[in-house]
Amino acid sequence: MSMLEEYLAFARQYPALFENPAEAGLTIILDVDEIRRVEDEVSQRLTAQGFPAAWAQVGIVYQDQYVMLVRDAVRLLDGTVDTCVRFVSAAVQVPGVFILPVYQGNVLLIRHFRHEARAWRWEIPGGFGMPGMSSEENARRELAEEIGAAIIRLIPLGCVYPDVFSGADSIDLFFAEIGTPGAIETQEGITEAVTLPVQTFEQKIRSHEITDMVALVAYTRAKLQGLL
Amino acid sequence: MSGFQEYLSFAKLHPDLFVNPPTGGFTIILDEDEIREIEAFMAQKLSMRGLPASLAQVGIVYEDQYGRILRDAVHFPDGSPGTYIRFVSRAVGVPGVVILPMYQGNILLLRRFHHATRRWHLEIPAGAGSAQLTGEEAARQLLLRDIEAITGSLVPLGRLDVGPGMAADGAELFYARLASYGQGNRREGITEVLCLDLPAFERMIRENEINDGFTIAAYLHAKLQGLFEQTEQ
Repeated sequence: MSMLEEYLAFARQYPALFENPAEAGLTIILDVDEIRRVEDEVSQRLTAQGFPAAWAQVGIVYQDQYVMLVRDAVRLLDGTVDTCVRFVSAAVQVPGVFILPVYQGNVLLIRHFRHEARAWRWEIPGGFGMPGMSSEENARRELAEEIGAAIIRLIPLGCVYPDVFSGADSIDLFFAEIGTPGAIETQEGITEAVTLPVQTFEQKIRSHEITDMVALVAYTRAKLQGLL
Repeated sequence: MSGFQEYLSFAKLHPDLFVNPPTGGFTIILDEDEIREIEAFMAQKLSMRGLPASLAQVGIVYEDQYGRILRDAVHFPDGSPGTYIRFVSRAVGVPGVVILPMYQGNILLLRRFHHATRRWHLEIPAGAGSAQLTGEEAARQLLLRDIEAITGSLVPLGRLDVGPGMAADGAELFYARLASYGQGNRREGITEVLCLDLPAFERMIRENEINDGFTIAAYLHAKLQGLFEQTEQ
């Protein structure tokens, strides 16, 4: 199957990822002849900028066991055409899960090594959702794996899109009252877990010691729901 | 130059992206023989799972005008070998900008369509920075482009690790007091500009109507810095 055929089959399988709502102003083109015309036009533009023409090719342009990068042909509001890339999780349309764990009234954070930043960050536990499991089940699994904790009470905090500019995937957030934490998952680059009073947690956000966006969003929702 | 040699050259050019802090993290391996051993180990592991062995290949595994995907050979904290991918934006050293715009004590919120999610989101202005502009200049320019706004004062709210469009250097957050604003930029996917008081904005975060991470993070920093209290006075 050619890259374009694979892409069109993917579009048929996941129509929600290819929706063209009225007024969107960014229409995905799925007609093969039109796609070819867009590729030609964009490849000329890329060549003029000194980039390889191959970067205009529409399709699933990168794929591994975790993620795929999709390059779509699009028509903008003024009728001009372009290509746009977006990341889609390999577990298509399975949201990630992150949990704000609270132990005896204190917020629990993990010190997690982030490969992309080559540095440690204070974060809340979570990760990819496993296909076939609900987000609640994934939340319980993540807490058990990462901090060895059982959940006493689990409350949904809604969803968040961590980067609407480049990623198709959302994250389901939870507030969890947990039992005594156990062993941390060192193999995943977690070196420490700490519990902080809410005031200290807030102070560390203010001073930028905590910069994890997902933690900030989960905390905001929990606070606005009166859970903290 | 082969993809692999290109990767090694890239590593030499950007040593900060290949830092190996003390124990506990994922140590990047740059020794060619060791990389080959890890690739062989991973190829076998992938084949056993029915996945293509080519997914073990270390190097710059994807590249376009926006950035690169790197697949690094690493040692995990227990010493076991593996590979790890990451996206590195071309705009190294240029953080994005995210701005919470205030007009006469109210928050301005955009209804904007995003290609990546194929949905509309309610969000504040955000976008790429520019190597030629300071963060403040980029913020003013973005407000003008997105909502025809003339910005009065700008208050820095600090930084986020991740920026719009996976900007490698995160994002600078600002709180902006606008002198005026106009229409949303349709070319940028903006179909409406809403002007909300703080309780309405907070209700929308609480009830999941606002689900853009940049918007909520900027709101939280402004709240913790007491900026809404100043506005209300």
